[in-house]
Amino acid sequence: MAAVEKELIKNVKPLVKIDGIKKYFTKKRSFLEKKLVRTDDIIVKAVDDVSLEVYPGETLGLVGESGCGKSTLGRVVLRLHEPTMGKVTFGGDDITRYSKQQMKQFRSNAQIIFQNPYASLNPRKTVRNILSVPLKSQGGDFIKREQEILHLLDRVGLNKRHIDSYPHQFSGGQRQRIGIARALAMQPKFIVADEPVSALDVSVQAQIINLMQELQEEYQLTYLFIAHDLSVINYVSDRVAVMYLGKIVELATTEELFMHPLHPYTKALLSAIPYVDKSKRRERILLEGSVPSPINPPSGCRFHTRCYQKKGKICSEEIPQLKEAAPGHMVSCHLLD
Amino acid sequence: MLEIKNLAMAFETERGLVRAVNKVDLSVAEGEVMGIVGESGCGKSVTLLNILGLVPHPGKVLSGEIMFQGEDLLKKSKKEMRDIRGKDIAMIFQDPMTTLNPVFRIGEQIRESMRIHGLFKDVKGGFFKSARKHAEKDRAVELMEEVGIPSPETRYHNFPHEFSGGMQQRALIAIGLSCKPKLLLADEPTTALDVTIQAQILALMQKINQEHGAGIILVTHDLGVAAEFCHKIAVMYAGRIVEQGRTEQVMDNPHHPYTQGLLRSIPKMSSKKDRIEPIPGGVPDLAELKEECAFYPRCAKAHDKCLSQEVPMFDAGEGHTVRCYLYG
Repeated sequence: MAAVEKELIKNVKPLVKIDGIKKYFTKKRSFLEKKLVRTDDIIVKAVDDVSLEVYPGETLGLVGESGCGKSTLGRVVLRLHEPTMGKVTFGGDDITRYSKQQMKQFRSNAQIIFQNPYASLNPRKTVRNILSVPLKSQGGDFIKREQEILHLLDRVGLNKRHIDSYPHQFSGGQRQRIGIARALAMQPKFIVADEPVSALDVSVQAQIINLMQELQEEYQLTYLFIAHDLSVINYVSDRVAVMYLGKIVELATTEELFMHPLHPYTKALLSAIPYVDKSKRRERILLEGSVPSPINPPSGCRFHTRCYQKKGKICSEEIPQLKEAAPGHMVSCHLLD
Repeated sequence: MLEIKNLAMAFETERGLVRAVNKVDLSVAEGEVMGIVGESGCGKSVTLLNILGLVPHPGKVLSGEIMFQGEDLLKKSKKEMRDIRGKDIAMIFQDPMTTLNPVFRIGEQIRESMRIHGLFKDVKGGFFKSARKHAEKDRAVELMEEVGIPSPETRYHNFPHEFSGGMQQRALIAIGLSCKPKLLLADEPTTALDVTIQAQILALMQKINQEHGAGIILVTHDLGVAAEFCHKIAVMYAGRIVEQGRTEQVMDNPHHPYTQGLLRSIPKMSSKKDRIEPIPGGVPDLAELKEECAFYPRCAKAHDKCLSQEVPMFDAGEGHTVRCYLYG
């Protein structure tokens, strides 16, 4: 797989290209607050200057702790959030400049699967209602739609008698299957999966992961797979990007990243995974403290406040750039200079 | 130290009795870490609540006994239970955000159980019993330092929302430790936390176990956490313990088809070639359970005998027990 992957990177154009994306959320201070307390607006730098490329047919895993901006990035890619700066290109076109009409077209190519299958389905609609909305936008008559719904249900492993059931009649895993069917209905090329299995039990989680992989092979889907669970990321991804406080700290093929992590944060993250298998346990690197707030992120390297390999002044003063440390292995850390 | 014998409890609902815990036998020795693993709804948290007598309203205990230091906790009065809770047996809950009271300062919440259990009631003197308050405060600060909260003197006066998730969990552990409990019940203490923070909290709990010699019951759905942290493991499915033994026995050589299935459905970290094998189907509805093996519809090795009657626990050697006819 890795060899094929490298070939792909050389020859194929990326399907999705994220270029210098920044997403800041601002909380405006009121007039009085400004006058009395003399504070500026609060700016949360959720995603700060991220560039990524997703190649057709691959699964790019995006991993990081809560609040690191991975979900925000996933939403910016689909323009569910407007980026503050930077652009996203899909098949060569800049989607941040698309008109409403063009966005509609784009939405049929790019879909999202949400984290919480309990909140992402309308409780008052039957499965038929839920699945016919995307199908209606594609046109076609009632009978064709009905056939298509049955086909989708069958494809995601639900029974056809489920067609008139409401979401509350399903278990978590079954609901996530409905969510996947809804995304598939538009026949997309690209799917952002935002923590699709983290709300599910282990045995059901495995079912959904396998389903997503089968669908990928069948329809040549491209995934941006967001998760905080490293073992899931390891299993599904071809390449992995590690995020910390709004920035990508390391990007490599899955094998490379898990076998030879270079960034101190990635190393700590990998060492923290509890294993059932004793032979796989690594010596644990305990990080001190917790992730700083993205409102006032640390200067220089964002990780320097918790870093156990801090080099010196440069870490707290200069922002490290994402550089190629080995072929296809990008790291942003001053240690490698 | 703690021995649960044949515990069964159910919730009375409109659809009949929902048996959440069924014939559970567990024992925890002094200084031992016991892990209960299973999927959501298998009855692992309710088992813990039973130990403390905290089962919510429609639930009632049908049979069994919970022996703690030679006395049956189920026969105790409400008042006697109040004296035990937080003193001899303390609990750490899953979600620190909802467990801590948002309108009281962290320090006061740590002091609360010391005050209720009269830890410093012999300390007399001072205006408005200030000597006792000072003693409690000193102990609280000491505890906060022990669980790794930085600058405890100032953090003592903070409110819960000023703490991060990991720090809140540490504060909860400090509350749990305040009266030097002999048994600590931890209900998914790290599920709401990130991996790096989870590693910190588990290291802390390990330290507590070794230094204080407190027994710990850890409820978790994460098999990795259980395998690294616990001495003994019980696997629960649909209200029953299906397999129990020392960690090496259960994790390295799982006997019950459910345990085997669970371990196979965790993504392996190294080679991509071996696909994960999910367990087909879903968890059964507890209201419709009968006496037979609850895992029957999902089991690859099921045969007619499994349906005929209730499956007893079989001994697979050296204290490793399995509820499956394959080993009978």
